[in-house]
Amino acid sequence: MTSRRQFLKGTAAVAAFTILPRHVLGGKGYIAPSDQLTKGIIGFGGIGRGHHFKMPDRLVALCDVDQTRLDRGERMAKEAGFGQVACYHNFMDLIHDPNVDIVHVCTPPHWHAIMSIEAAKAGKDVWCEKPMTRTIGEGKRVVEAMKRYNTIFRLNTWFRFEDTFYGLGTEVAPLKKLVDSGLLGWPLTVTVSKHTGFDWKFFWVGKEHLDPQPVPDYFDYDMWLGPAPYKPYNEHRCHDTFRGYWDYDAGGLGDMGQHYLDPVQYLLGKDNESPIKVEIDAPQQHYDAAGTWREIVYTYADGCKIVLWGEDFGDPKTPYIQGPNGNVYNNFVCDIPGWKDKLADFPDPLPQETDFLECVRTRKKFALNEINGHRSCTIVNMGAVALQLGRTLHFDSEKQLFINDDAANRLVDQPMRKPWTL
Amino acid sequence: MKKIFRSFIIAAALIAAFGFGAQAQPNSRNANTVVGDALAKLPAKDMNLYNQLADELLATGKTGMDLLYGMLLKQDDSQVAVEYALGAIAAKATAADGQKLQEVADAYTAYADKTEDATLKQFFVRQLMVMGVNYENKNTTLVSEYDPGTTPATKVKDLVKSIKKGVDNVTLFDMLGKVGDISEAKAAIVETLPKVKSSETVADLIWWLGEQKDKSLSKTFKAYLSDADARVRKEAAWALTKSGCCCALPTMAKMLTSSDEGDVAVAEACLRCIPGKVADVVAPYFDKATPAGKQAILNLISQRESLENKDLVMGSLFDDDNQVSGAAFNALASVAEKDDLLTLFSLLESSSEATRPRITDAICEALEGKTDAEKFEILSNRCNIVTPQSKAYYWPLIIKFASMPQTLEILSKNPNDELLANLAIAGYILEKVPFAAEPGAQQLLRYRAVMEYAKNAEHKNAILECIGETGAFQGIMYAARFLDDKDTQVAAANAIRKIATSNPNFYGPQIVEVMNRIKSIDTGRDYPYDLQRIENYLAAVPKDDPGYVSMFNGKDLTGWQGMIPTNEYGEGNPYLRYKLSPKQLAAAQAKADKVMAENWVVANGNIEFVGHAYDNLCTTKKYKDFEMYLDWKIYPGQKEGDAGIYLRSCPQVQIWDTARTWVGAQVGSGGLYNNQKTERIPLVIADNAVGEWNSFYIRMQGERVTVYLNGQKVVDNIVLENYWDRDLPIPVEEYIELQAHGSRIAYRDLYIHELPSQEPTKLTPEEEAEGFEMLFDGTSLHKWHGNKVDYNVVNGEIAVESRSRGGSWIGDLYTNDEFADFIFRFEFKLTPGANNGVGVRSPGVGDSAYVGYEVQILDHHNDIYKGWLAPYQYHGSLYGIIPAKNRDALNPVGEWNSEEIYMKGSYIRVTVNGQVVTEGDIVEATKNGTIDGNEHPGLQRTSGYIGFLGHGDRLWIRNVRVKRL
Repeated sequence: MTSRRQFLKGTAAVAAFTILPRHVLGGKGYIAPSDQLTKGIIGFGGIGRGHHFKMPDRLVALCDVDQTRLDRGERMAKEAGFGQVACYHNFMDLIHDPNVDIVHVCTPPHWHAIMSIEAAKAGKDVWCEKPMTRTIGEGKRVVEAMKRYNTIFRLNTWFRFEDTFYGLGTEVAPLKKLVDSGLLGWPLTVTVSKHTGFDWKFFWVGKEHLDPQPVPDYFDYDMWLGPAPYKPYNEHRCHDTFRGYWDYDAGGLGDMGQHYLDPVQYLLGKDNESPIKVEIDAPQQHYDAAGTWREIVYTYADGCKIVLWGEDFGDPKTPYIQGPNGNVYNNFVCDIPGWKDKLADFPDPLPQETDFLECVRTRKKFALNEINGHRSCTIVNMGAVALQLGRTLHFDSEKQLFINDDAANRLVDQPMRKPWTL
Repeated sequence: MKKIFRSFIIAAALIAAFGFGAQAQPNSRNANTVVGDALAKLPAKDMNLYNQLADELLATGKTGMDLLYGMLLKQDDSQVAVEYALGAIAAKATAADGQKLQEVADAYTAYADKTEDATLKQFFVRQLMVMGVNYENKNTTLVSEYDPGTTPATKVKDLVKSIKKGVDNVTLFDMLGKVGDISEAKAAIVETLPKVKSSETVADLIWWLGEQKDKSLSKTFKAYLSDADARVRKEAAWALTKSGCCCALPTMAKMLTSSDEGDVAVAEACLRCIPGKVADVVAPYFDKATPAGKQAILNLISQRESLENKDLVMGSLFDDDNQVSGAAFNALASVAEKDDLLTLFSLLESSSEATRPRITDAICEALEGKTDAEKFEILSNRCNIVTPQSKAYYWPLIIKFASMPQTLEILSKNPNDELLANLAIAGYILEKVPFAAEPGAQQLLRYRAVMEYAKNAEHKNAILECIGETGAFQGIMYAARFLDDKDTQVAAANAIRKIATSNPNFYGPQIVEVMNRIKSIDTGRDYPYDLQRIENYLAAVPKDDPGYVSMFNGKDLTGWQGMIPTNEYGEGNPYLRYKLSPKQLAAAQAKADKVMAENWVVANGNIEFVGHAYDNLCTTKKYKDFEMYLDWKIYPGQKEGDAGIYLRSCPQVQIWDTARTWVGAQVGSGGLYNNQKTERIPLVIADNAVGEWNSFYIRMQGERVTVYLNGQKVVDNIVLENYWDRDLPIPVEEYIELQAHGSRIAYRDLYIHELPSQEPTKLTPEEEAEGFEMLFDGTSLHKWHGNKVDYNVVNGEIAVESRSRGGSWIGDLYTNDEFADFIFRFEFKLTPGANNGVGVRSPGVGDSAYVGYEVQILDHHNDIYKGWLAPYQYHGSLYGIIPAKNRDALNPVGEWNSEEIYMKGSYIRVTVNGQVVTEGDIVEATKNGTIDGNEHPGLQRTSGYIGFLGHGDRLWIRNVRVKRL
């Protein structure tokens, strides 16, 4: 029996495609050196060095504002068999390198929007790490720009189409089939907590007070900050611990939120809308250092809810999905009598486009792209805004603005430090 | 800990700086007070407190903000709290009216102007940004209004022209992405399609049309299903499927008979995503289909679990075409029912390697609806009558339905069968234990039991991974045993880290050492995360508390000694032991140690009792308050399985074989067996079978004990009575003893964490000299009787629990002794409106205000009493008899008060905080009847109990003492 995934792999191989000159995309003209797609990585931290070295596309360029990391990347690229790669300090140079087809944005989130949009302007396709953008406003700009420049954009998390979904002990496809079957009823409540197999990584908390330190001579702190407000340097702001600061990310919620919530958005079929309300239960948040929380509840217009519980909060026996007619627990266990037999009568979910390089070649939209990626990132960012303001917020899913709350909307569109703008 | 300390410093600093604190009245709070209170509590831990503090801070206006700004400039310890306060004001201002927002924005703008420090300036710039003030300086700028530009919409005419001319797919999608009017484009493309020469372009266009999910295009899609180009056919099939048209099902079903294998594969994939009775529609095409088509049909019957087409599946099992028969076996499970069981057994016994798993799945389906025990029996019975070779085919099924003990039994009976071990261990740890959903401590015992049968590192690693999920304390040091082996160290490190970091209360020298050790073990992709967790854990370990310490080194009985027997029955009464001279004690100890050496041994890595008499093993150290973990096991095959844990040298947390119903053991282990007044029966029976290990968590705080057995609470904060002298409370400090009761017993994994204990309050030297007696010293209520449920000892105080309001009785607490003439002194703290009373010369039953006397306790300042309180109801009044004259002696609610009641003959005097509030002669006061007009039969009494009279309100009492006159 061929599984759906094997089937997709099979058909992809059948279709033959030719690589065409990139100038037809309207960007800067060049001809790719071979049939193999090439990429440049901006930001050579944990993500940059991690799994991206193992992709089938060819690495040709690297960029980092930390000279030690850049040197290390150059060395590692050689060891991995890519030969000499171009090394850049300024990401604009990498983006405009004619040898680069795909730009991988592996920086902290405060840079994602600017780099993605600049890459799109230069006619490059974009692979962007989660969370997609640091604010809802930046996400809107990315959506607009990708449409305008006809860019193939992948937001990088993958649980909506492959892999066992964290502690849930199942892939998402069977869950989607069950949800779509309607057996559970509607609206649904999805609970994402330790009890349902998810870890909010609450060690990503910032320090409330940082003493200024001298900037290391190998590190361009000004460029690292980029659009973020200038604050005196302390190593805890940068590199492996930046997630604890609102200026660059949103703590554990920022780190894991889109990983965990994008599949939920897919399950609920909410790829083109956002929740209309966010409620929080959390300790007061510091203006600079992101903290922890107990509960964040999102409500959609049709009554569907996404509930996030931090640490041990909440009832451990809570199911992952609660519906009026039944519940789904970890390891794909449902409490509807005879559910397996009933589910057999329903069709499988439609297949998704899951080969990014194939999408680049054929110009089909990737399964997780700027549009649904922006929506799932908006869930994360709505939570971050509510935490920072310490109150319940109402959201207009169409306009993508908070309702009757100017302060919240100022966190939707935040100022950028000169000379960076969108 | 640190936060509290910091808050304390801030509060202290503020009191010094602004001179407020104790004197401040809650109803006249000025900005200083509000700011000081808030800083001590910020950052608020929950939303209610946050909203309250933030609203209060906002209300202080410019005064409060200036105060905070001044403190911010000092950049001292209070800076972070001040940032929280100013941040809260800004956030609240944005939800307040415009005027308030303006006030805050103006103030913050001025602060931003004034401050030189970059961090502080950024702080205000950020707050101003949230408030909508764009504070311009070199560091910030407005976001330029982003202009997405106008994407030039592609004209449909140009699009069609390009298509006709022939265009590459990249340009085509570029144009389609920018197409202006979608419906116009759809129509134009449908019309143009027949004229397009390149199949590549046709396929791309059909894909694009398919994405529009438009039923009305189904005719177009169907037309291309017979196109010469395979990719065109594929895109047409998917486009038709996505369109949702009802014609998709019959059309695709028919496509299954195609002679092109690619088409059949596409048709099958599409049919999997099409709603409806798919199996019934495709089955009739079976005979006409090629082998590939037959497979596809069987696959679809399987996907839809179509029992109606079972015969088709059964009939194809031995099809000449291997692929078809393979598909039929794959489909078997989805159509199997209980009547097929015998057929399936024969199939299994004659099965090949390839088909066996499928038949096994089918048997499981056919057994559906029976209990696991029934399934186990059916399969075991069948297994017993088949050839030895076929027996092995049944193992996966039997293991699947075996209970946990049955699995362990199978493992122990087949020690050399590695394949069986793979199956049994995987089934046990991945399904049986998780499915039982037992508490973590019990799960750990389950995993440790199966670890005995682990044959290789793979088994051990899988079990260790599960142990990491239990969160059970003893799992940490157990997993640490697997750190030395290179092949198991990663799994062991993961398990240790998971348990420790998710339970910050689990710390101690051994655990810290292990945590430091696993830092260097690379756990793979998440290693940086893991390392961060370990560092966070280690940083949070308290420096001033050793935490859990092992009581057993695994090698010998260091730290243990013999219990000194003090009577002919071999009992070890500490009060008799105290009477021994040092010399006698040393001799007795030496003798006891000798007996111990005969009875107690270290065996199998456990402490085991191998003697026959009653001989407790006793710690060499005395303990006050503590929490401890230990495991115990009663060896099977003994008539009188019995043991226990003595706490502070007093019996005992009971351990016994629950089969001994003749002594009442059916209630389970863990109870405080020797209690007479307080509960002695465990809350639940949580024992494991004799011969299996059990796990205790015992917590002793003051005189109260909590016990968990195998993760279930069996004793909930119950007073342990003093077995040796029931008039005395439990000693504050004594040995822990492992009891032996003549039967063989084993103990292992003993860890103890000493807790801070309440120091007893002592009489002042003056009171001591005057002959006062302590009635409540903060540790025990043993000199009291009555309601000990709502009157609880917490932190050295009697905390009176709140029950429903409205004068409802919650039961009173009385002294054990009676008092006639006395001086009674105590301290108390009220909550708003709280009501209680001191009963004196009370009979101990009934309403003491009438059947004895009651000296009123009442927060009479509270608004709820305004306007209706009778004079004899104010605090300090002898209720209904002599009213209090002084109504201003009480301290503000929330502060402690001291009170003295002097009673001699008919004379009474009540003094509160040094002021006499009530004084008089009872005979004199009642000579014309009582002032409340009620009968007071208690007036005849000259002696009785002293008590606290519960009225359902929350308050605290401490330092209670009395002197007889």
